[in-house]
Amino acid sequence: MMKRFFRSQSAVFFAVTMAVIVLVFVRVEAADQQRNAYAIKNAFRDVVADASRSTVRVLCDDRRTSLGVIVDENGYILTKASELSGEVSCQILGRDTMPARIVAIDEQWDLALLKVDASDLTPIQWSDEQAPAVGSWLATPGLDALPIAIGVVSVAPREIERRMPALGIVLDNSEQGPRILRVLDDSGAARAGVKEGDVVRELDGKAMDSRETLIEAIRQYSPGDKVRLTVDRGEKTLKIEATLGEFNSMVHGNREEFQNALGGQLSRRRAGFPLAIQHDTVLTPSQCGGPIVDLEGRAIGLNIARASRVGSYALPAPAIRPLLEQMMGGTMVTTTVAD
Amino acid sequence: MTNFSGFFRFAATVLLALFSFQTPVVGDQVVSTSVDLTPIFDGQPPQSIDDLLAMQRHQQDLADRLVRCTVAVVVDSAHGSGVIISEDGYVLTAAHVAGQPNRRATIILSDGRRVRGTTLGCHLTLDAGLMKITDPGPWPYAEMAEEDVARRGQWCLVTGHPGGYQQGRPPVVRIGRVLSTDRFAVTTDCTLVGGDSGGPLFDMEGRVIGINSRIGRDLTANLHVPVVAYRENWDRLANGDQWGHFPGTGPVIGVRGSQDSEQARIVQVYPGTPAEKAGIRAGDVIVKFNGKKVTDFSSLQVLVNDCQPGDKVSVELLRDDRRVLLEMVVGQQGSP
Repeated sequence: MMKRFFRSQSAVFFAVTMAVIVLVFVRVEAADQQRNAYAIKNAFRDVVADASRSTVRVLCDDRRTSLGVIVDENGYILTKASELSGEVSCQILGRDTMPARIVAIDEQWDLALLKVDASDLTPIQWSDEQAPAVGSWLATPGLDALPIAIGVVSVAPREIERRMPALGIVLDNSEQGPRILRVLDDSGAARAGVKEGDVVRELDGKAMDSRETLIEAIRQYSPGDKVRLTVDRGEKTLKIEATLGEFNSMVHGNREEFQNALGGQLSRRRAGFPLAIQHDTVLTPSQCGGPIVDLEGRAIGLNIARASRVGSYALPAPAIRPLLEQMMGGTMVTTTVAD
Repeated sequence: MTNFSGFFRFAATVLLALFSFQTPVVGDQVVSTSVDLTPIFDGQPPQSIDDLLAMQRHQQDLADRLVRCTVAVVVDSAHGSGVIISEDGYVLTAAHVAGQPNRRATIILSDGRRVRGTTLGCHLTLDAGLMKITDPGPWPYAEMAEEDVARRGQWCLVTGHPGGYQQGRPPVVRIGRVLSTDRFAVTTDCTLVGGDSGGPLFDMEGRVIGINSRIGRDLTANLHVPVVAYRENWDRLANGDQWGHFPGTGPVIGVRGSQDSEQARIVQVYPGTPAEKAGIRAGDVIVKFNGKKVTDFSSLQVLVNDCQPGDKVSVELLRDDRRVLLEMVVGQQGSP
């Protein structure tokens, strides 16, 4: 009798169910005491209720790339520019996915204004305050009833200097042009196969006549960008594609970069913002680009980057509003009143 | 002077305000319900926006006060963080930031002012380090918790200088919860990164309950030295002692023994280790190590742990009822 029971399916089912319950139970126990526990996020339900109706998911070639924020009822959406590529579309709560076109881009702030064909969207309520104090709660709405994540203000708004790019080469000037004296180990140049003695002719099609011209040209890029080099090696002329690294980590070692990457991916463009609030909300790069709200549910800014293991950046609302007027051509804001 | 007395008055207000909290004014309407924050900060989930507002006001006051007690420390090429815990300028930090006792250090206050300091003691095993500002104070400081107060689920606040000190950026505030505690570490979900080492972990009364030490792969693996490590070893730390070993770098001689035996009988000698080089064999019973009596295998482990890698020690053992004397150079874990 017992033998038959243990061989039966129900015994197997019973055993499997137990294992699953134990696993889930243990996981809930552990997750329960974290800051991002369900019970904590649930307390922010009303906080994000309005803002989540003004939050959109931005897709590029059908891939979830980032979030965006509705800034005008006639289909204008603000998002992070550097994540955009290919065919852009937007998902808004309770609607079909809508194709979007890029109306304007502000490189300095990494913002893009998108337009979808709609006329009855719910625009975000921006906060009038300068910036919430350090320690204040912030919630990042998604397209659900609960926020994606919560956090606090870590540092008052400040300029985030851009990260300097580096190819990983030491140069001098030769009669032919900038010549490579040394290639640093583990650098973009080394990985691309750049060799000592190579003379750089062109960078992305532009002629390089001296060491100084080449250095200045590279400084215009960002770490992670790809560049095409034309180099003379002996009798041959070669075309080489290399990925730029970061100057600091190339000089001081990449321990910091390694540690920052522990625990999740970072935004590709995560520095070089004229003004940003640092907060400790844990976001993924694809959760950036949307609004971030205070306890009154008003957007205090737009999440612009997952920046490190310890922080994310938000562009402050007072900086965004004048930019928005410029990007919308200064007319759209007033035309929405008529209907 | 005037500035500091103002600061302490402010600090006292925050502490007094802790247990009878008035929620702030929302719009024109004054919400008069007072929220008891104690159960919430102990881990009961907040239930309403009023609860969150009360937490927020407390967090803002706490952050403002605690940032001022947080410092950046520079010792030779090491950059880290620390927290001032007395008016005369004692600074708790991590042992791996302080490095060695009695070295000159620069301490950068939260407003960017640079003052002089010195490193004191280090308990390497627990990663607890002590420093002192040598310029005349008084300095803004935070209280150390009286005992081991960290409890699972309670809220906590971290400050420090992630990525190292950056001009124009004050100490960076993060808020999270305690996930687990034991003798060696308090684990929280307040995210840390290099440069935060030595910075403080506070409870929501603003008392130091830990010091930032190390991280793991997950965002929930942020480990802090429990403050009890500083309290229990205060005299040694203040006297500039350095003892213990960083994890994975301790002394090793390369033998395996039986824990339940009543003598330190060697079961196995690993090839290429100091023990093998000295001539120790399986079956030997060690009776003296470095001049001290060995009673069983665990007493041998304690004596080895008291050495530094590289120390030359004498070993006395019994082999086939004969007494054998050997000399040995203590090795280091992880090195051949």
